[in-house]
Amino acid sequence: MSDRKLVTGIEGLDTLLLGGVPARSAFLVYGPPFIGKEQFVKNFSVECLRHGIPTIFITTDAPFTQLRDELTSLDSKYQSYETNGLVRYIDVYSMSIGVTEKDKYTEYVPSPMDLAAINLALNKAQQMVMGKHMHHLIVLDSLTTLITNTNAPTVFRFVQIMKGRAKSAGATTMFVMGAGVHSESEVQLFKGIMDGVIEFKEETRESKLYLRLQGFGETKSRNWIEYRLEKGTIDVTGAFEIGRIR
Amino acid sequence: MVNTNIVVLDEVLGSIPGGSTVLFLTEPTVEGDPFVYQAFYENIAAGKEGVIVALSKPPQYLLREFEEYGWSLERYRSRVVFVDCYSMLIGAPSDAEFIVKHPNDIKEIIETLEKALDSVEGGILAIPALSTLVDYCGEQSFVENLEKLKEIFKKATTTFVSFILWPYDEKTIEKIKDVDCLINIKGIEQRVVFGEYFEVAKARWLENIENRSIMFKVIKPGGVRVYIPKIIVTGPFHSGKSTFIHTLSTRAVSVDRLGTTIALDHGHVEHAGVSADIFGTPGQERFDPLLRTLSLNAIGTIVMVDSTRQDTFDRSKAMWQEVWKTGMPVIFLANKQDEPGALPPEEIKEMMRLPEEIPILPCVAKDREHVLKAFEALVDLILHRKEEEK
Repeated sequence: MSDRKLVTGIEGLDTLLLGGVPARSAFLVYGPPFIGKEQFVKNFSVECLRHGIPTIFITTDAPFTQLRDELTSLDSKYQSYETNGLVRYIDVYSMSIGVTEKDKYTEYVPSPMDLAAINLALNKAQQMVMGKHMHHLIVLDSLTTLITNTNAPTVFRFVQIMKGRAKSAGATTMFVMGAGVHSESEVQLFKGIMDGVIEFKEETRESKLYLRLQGFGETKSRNWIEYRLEKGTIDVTGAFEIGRIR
Repeated sequence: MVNTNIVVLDEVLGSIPGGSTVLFLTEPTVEGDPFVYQAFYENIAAGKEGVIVALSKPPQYLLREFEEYGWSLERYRSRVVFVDCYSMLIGAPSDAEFIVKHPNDIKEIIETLEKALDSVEGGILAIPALSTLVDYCGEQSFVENLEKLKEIFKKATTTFVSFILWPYDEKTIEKIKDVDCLINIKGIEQRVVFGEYFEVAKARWLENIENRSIMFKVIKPGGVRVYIPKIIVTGPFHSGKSTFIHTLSTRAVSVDRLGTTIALDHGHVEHAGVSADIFGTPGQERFDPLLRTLSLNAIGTIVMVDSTRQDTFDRSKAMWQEVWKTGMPVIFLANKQDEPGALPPEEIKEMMRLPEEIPILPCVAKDREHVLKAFEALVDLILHRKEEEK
């Protein structure tokens, strides 16, 4: 990790990104379900935590406890990151299904339509994690849920504010968005506001998985690069040095 | 008579004329809804009827939020009518008195609101996060129907609305600002929002509005409290600073050795709608280098004087001069008035040659009533309160 780049922990991807995701950037992780974007999000978050970078998770599709379990299975030290004050959750899911238990690392938002409450909870969580840390990571999973519960222009306004504030607070922000749910113009709207996009896709005829980078300043390649899902992580197998084009 | 029931805000606004709309225009990173909740609840608790619109959460969550602030709306449930614009969006059941079936249809919302207001013959109308309506119905539709909506507001005795300043079109913002009373709620930001303040931008019934920005905190339970981030209590060794802070504070800690403060005292006070953090300095001369550091960014000072020790008066004055900055409100407290040989405050003031405008009050630091009076006197100076405003 450097002051300028956050290592993703996925070797091939870090090479593609010339060292990692630019610090203080806002980027979109975009792709259909079950092809690896969830693995990327979790691996990257845990990698940041291993390097002492505080992380705030905004969960809209599952209770934070599920995410906690999944991250603990990725890294046995995960609980220590929580106890060392590196992890905060903003749970936008649990209250909507009637869960009333509280957790000391978690802020609860009653509805995915209450974007102002998410903003306020984020500010509170940032106050908690920032302290002596120059950087922190914010993970919003997912924009899709927010958009389907409201609409694209509303969420766009929310992202505009959140992105600007995150940058000035020294945060790198990762937004997750599902493919196949939104119109092309909505997707372009959100891609356009980001500093970079990591896009995942599946070629069903070949049964192969590909990813590509957009934005992020200089990268090794912008072509679709083949990858495999291996033991809960992503293994970039495509030959990007010579720029394989599909 | 309708008020917001928010300290200082009511002193500026006075009684709100019937039919007025009070808009709390809120930056996206600060809390505006509690202003609406507090104004609504206190008026309902005072015996009025009211309508509250649930836009971004179900009515039962709104009730729960009121509870968290310590306001049991349930107790006055017979006087409160809910307009539920949320539940139908997620297909949830609702026991609200009025349910909007199509929350993205602004005309249906307006019609339902009108019926709700008719059912309570006016009453107080509360709409937290009106901006959610822009999100549901689209900006154009919202703007097209805004005048009609404002007409409906006039049916209420008073309407309290919060609106979040998402990056909408400037013309939309200008139109929403066109109300009887506009209160801006803003954040003080450096990497994150670490302070919040409000200011009255407009009140049609007032000729002149004093330009005041008032810091506040939202406390659960408690609601909106005017916030004073730093008051310094200084004075000579053994003059009663620590006792004063501990008597005054809701919670307090002292960094001391064998009962003598060697670093600082800190206390937090919640009193009369005001929330304040109090910092006490050590009294011994060898700790004087700490005085200036501790007084940085303070916005009010209390100087303790031991009324029984004439030989320490010069020291009290010297300590005040050490922390003094132009215009910083200060009061002197002639402490230990209950002890034999205590000089009366006016005599002490004369002996210390304090400027005429600086108040000196009698004090017994162990006595909570005395201490609260002193605190209130300093708060009045800090908030530029005049006698008639109180």
